[in-house]
Amino acid sequence: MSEPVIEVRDLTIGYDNRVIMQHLDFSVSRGEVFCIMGGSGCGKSTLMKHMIGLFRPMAGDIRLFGESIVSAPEEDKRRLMKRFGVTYQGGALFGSMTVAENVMLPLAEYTDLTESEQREVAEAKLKQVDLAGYGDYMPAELSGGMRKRAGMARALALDPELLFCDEPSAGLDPITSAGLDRLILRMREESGVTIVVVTHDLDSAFTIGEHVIMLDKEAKTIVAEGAPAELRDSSSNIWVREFLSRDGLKH
Amino acid sequence: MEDLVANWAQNTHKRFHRMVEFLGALCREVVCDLRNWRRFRWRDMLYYLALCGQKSVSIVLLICFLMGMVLALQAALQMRKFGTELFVADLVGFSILKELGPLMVAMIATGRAGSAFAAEIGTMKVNEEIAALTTMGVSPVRFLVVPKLFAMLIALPLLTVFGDAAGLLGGLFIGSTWLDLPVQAYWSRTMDVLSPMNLVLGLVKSCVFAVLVTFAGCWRGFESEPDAQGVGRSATDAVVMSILLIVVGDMLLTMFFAMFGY
Amino acid sequence: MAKISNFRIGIFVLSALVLLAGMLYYLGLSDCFSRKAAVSTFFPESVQGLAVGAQVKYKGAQVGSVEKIVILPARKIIQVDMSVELDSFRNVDGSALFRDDEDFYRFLQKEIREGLRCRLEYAGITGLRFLDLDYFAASGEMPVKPEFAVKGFLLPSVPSALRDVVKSLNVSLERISRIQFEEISNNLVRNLDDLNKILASEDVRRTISHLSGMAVSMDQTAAVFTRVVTEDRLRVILDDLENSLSELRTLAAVVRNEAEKSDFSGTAASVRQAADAFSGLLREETPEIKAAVDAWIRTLDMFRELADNLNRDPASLIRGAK
Repeated sequence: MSEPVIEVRDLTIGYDNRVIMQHLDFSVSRGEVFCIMGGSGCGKSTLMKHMIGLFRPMAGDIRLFGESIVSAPEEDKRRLMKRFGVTYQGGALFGSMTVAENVMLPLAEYTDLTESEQREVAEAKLKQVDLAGYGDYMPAELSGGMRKRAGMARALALDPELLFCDEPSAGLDPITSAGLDRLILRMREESGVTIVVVTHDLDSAFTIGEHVIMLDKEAKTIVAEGAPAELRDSSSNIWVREFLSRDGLKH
Repeated sequence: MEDLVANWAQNTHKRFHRMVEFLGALCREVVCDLRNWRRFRWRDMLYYLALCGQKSVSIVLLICFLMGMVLALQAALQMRKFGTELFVADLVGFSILKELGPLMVAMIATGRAGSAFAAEIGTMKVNEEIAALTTMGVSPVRFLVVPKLFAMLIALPLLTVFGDAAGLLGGLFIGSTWLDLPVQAYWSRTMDVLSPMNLVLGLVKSCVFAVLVTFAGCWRGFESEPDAQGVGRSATDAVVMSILLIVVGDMLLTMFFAMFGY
Repeated sequence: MAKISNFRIGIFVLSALVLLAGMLYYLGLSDCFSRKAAVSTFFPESVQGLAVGAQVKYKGAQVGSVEKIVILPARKIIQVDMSVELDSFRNVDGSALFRDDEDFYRFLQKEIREGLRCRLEYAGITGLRFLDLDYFAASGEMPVKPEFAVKGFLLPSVPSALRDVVKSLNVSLERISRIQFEEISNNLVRNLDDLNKILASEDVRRTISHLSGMAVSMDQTAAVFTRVVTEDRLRVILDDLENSLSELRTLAAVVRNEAEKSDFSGTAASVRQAADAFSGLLREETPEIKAAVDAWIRTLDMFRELADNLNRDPASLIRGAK
């Protein structure tokens, strides 16, 4: 097993004084596609936001590339953030900028590239996510799936080692969703990037997921961990088996 | 009951802490952008300058002109009793330049820009754009607030100049029609009693109001709940907070200027 | 982001700046470019209502403004520094009257001899005041120079019109305050009380009733007199009187002749004797004579009164008193 890119140790997360998840312990290996799964409202996205340093956990530690993102000073945190990219449910593109400008933004912040160089990189990244020629479009002019892909191009702009994807298939039709799954796999193959996907879509999980953790809202912790098919077939937790087999029967 | 009070106190403390933190971040980013002006988001600033400044000119002119007329009418009704109609020029001139010009422009800016800032940032929060900025290592304050602040710092004083001129003309209109004062006499009186300092201090006030409106609008946007109703509430809260800050700021500034005899 | 027009933003900023510059110029920045001369004056009186920026007028026309007001407690005076715009003064052809400050000061020096002074005046009912430069003193009258040095040109002041009024008022009030109104009032009350007492006394009441009685008697007497003295009888009396007078005249002529012939020394001695005897008589019989004289005086008074009545109303002699 390769070195872990992410290590989560005895993590407790929540809002204010309300605990959402506790005693979370897992690690993500370099180059794998890691899925965080669970029912709606169980705290998947919240866990991801803790992992990317947006929220501070109530207890425990999260280490990215061997460094704690919880206790890191602002400068170190910023340096860590430069090494990973994040795509959000709705794409989170800035409506005041064109698609190309959205992709150029991290380049302008972190590199010394000239504007034309930035634009070249942006065009290449857009081509990578099958959005060549859409650079001058405004985000409002794109469909939901295209926005997500544009968001992915922006997340990949700095060639990150780690990519977080929050619900990439949410709100998309199955064909578009399947297209995004293929894109994620292609990314991993082309650049060897480690990918963490938050999803409740079993099709996606079974298509791209190599390692899955299942979060349970009632238990407030991880109830199962392993390969998706393995969990569906042999998990000791009946809820996990039922959850994964409902759609997983097709596979 | 005790729990409620304790909860309230804790929340208030946290909110105050966040507000001070936001203010600190704003100051830091302003200094950073002043030092490294090439990083400054000029295009965004121009957009907000157009939104808050150029597109507000007509409404500012209309409201301030009417305000000058109302002031002159009210003053004339009282001063006629004493035969001191010419002093209407003094009252309108001082009121518009020192108080009502900057104040009315700030109120219009609150309605137009303050609420728009809060709604915009609130919506960005809902769409996770703020989170995206943060994870990209871009300071949301620098990216979203600083251009708005500079735009407002330019737009509000310029709008105040328009507002002052319109207000004085409103007073002149009433003075020359309702009061039958010669236009030249009213105008000379206005120019005699007013000094450039009155105008400059009004502009200083409008700069302070620009900071307050931007601060309140953006702060309420960042504090917005991540849902549609939350964004609506934050826009309303931004307007209320802006008006409160403007009135308190106006009082403090007036007292401050009065200490120096202005 | 909505499309924005850089041109419109430019127009907005440019027009606002032009407007700002125009307003600043008209509101007083133009003063920075005008030529001014510094003039100072002193007031021993209160300068209440005068403020920095107050107008300075020359014969009612504005020529400058007050720049500074300084209190000099050591001499109990207020120093007022003002600036006067030289371009306010023009020649008949419209050209500037003064080339520089010194030129203006020479003009002021000349005008001070003509009576030019500085005076505080009220600018309406607001209580605000301005400085009026006008000719208040008599021509040729020069002010007393202060014993201390003054920076800039010193224009002497005269007391304000109000100050004179207030001064006169103060003197009048002081004089009025000296009058002891309380004592006068007390005396008046006392005198009125005394008068009331006198009027209420028995003597006065009796006197009044006597007077009423006398008036009735007089009326009756006048009525009798009117009845007795008719016109015919009055003519007869007047005729008799005329006859008697002519006889008296004749008698007087005879007496004169006899006197011229007579020896007066003996007669004088006889008269002296008779006078002595008469004096002795008077001394002995005084009460009776006094009573007779009093009665005679009363009668005379009554006749005088009667004569007055007749004088006022002669017809009463014929038709009787009313």
